[in-house]
Amino acid sequence: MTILQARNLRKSFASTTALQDLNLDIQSGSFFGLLGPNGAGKSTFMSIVSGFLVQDSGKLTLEGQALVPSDIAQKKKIGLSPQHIALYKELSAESNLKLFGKIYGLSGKVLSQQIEYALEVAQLSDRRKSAVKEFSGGMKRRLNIATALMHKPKILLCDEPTVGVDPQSRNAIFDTLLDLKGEGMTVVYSTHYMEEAERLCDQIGIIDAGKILRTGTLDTLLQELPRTNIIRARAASLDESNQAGFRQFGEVEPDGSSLQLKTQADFKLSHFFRWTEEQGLDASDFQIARPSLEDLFLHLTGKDLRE
Amino acid sequence: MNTILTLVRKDFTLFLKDKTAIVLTFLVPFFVIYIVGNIFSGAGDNGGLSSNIKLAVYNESSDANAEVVVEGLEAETSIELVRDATGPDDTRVPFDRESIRQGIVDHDYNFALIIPQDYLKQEGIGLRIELLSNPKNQIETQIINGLIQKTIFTKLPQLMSSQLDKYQRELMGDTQYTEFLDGFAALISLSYEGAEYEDVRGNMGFEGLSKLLSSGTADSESGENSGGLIDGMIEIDEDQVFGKEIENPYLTRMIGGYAIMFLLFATTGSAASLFEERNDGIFLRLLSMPVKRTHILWSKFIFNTILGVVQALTLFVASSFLFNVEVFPNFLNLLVVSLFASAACTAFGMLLASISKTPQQAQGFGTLLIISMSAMGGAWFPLSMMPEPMQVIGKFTLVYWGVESYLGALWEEAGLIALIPELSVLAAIAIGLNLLSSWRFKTGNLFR
Ligand SMILES: Nc1ncnc2c1ncn2[C@@H]1O[C@H](COP(=O)(O)OP(=O)(O)OP(=O)(O)O)[C@@H](O)[C@H]1O
Ligand SMILES: [Mg+2]
Repeated sequence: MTILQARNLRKSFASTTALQDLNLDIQSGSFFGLLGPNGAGKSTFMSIVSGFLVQDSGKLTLEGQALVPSDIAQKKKIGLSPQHIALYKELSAESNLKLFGKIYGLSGKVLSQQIEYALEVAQLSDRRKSAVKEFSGGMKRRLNIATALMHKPKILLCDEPTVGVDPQSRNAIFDTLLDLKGEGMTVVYSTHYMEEAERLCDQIGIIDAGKILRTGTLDTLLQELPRTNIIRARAASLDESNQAGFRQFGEVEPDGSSLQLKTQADFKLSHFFRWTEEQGLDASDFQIARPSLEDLFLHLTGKDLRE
Repeated sequence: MNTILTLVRKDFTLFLKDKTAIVLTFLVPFFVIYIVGNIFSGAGDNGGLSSNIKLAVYNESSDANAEVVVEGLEAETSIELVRDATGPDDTRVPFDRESIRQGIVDHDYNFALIIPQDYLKQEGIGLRIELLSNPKNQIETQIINGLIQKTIFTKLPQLMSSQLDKYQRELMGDTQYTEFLDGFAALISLSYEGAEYEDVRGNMGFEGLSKLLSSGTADSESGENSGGLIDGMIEIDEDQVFGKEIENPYLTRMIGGYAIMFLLFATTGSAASLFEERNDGIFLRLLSMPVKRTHILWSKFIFNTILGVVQALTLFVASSFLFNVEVFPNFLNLLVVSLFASAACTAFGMLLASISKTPQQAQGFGTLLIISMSAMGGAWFPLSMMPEPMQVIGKFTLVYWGVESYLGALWEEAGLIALIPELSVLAAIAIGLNLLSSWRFKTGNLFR
């Protein structure tokens, strides 16, 4: 079932067009990755969904109903963890959670339960009384996400939640988000790290210049790439005749201490390994690179994801 | 040194990027000097100040001589004479003692001059006039007092001539005095060619002489010079209609203006703080929740209004402890006035936030508007000292109504009922500005 749908969404600012005819279908219960470079329109999309910005034109529906910014019932289904730390820095972690919980209409036991839960998610139970301004960047990030969970939303919008977070905290955030998905929450996750999208998301939308270029699972997306393989060889392990032989499989370019082979269309891996055996070469000197979303992005736009 | 220069250059670059801020930088001083200049370089003769202060005049005496004072005051460009009261159905009716006083209570004018029936003293030489006043503005009061004295001194010879005649007649006896004048006139007509006896005799006596004198030489100089000599002869009975009992009149009159300016500057700061919250992304988060823009704006409005009331009251309480301003007897009224004034000032701050794109612009607009409103609205100079068009504009400012309300509460010690007109205007300003800003917020930069 589609939980969130966007049709021909447009949004311009004074001089830039942030979204142009953006179309998107996000399935209920999925972990949806919005992958795109800086300025692609990820935050603009999330701001419109959460009711901060109003689109110039186009339609958004939540569970089949047109999304109206003033509809409180709809807002309670959405949780937003903004790209920037949106917390009152002078207040403690607990006070922030309490304040935002109250805004969602929570009170009494439910409120304190949810505060405990959010503090746990943020791994800040022992620092609950500390002011947010005293937290490290990673701690603030975690609280920024946890705050969006106070009201148990159906759909969680996470705008680049791992910026400036160390690998350990990052894994903790990933685990939390995957747990939430396990509990049936829909997660929309924006990032420009393809590793994150590949690792977490079961649906990925590639966004660039305000447009969704492709959506699909990792596998279906990668199938779009022309069937080329990249094989890297340690340059030192190949003598001159070996190198000539290596070239028969395609285009070779030096890349640091290795040689990179981009294979021809009729390439067969079995032929390649037969050749290494014949030459008496060690197979472990060769690495077959999997095509990645990065390659797909390059293929679709002609530019790097992190240009 | 290089580092400093680099940083200075950075500041200039940033500054030059904000076109509105640049415009404001030049507009603020231009505006301030325009207003101050208008006040001080007028055509008036009161130390460079021009003014048109309203003065009600009621000549109770039937004596024609008394009318010269009125004429003298009429000729004074700095005074706008009021000669009659508003009767039923807006007709004009002549003043009486009751109605001329009522005009001060009703704020039609702040000063009223009564030339009483017995303005010439029965005993000895001298005259007595009555001045009713509401000296709610120090400068205005000084100016009007000076002008009245000047006029009377100038007209003094004429005013007192009949009295001197009478005095002389009593001294010499009726017949003797007449004979003396007859003889004196004959002597003059004989001694001077062209001086006919009839003419000279007609102009005899102090009354006639003073007429001759005043047509030729009497000007303001001589009037003022004679001041020392004649001082004791003039008695001005002052009747202060408002503020008579006030212990620290100077501060009591000024404090309202300062309170308003204070509220306005504080609210500019809070306008800038709205931008801070936006930059922190707090608005984004709040609006993703069951919160509307109007909730955010109302919460800011209520908070800043309350804060303003607390600050204003603190100002008054401090002035009570430090300088004996009579705050506590009027505390409830001050609280109510502060509430309305603070609401209007906060609404002004919200409007600033809604029309500005950056906190710097809000500061710039704020300074510009606060200084010009304070100057035009009477927080610094009395409105009556400004050119007519500026007085009209002044009455459209929030400062004017704030100052009037505070004067009402603290100087005139008026009850809340009497303050209803001023408070209603403040409320209307608050509502109007809030409507304007909530409309502007829809298109402005704050929620983007
Ligand atoms: N308030 C604004 N005023 C003007 N332009 C804006 C504003 N917000 C976004 N834009 C522009 O809209 C485009 C999309 O911006 P957006 O923030 O949505 O990108 P993003 O994908 O979130 O990028 P990032 O990964 O850097 O966060 C950009 O070109 C940006 O310059
Ligand atoms: Mg973004």
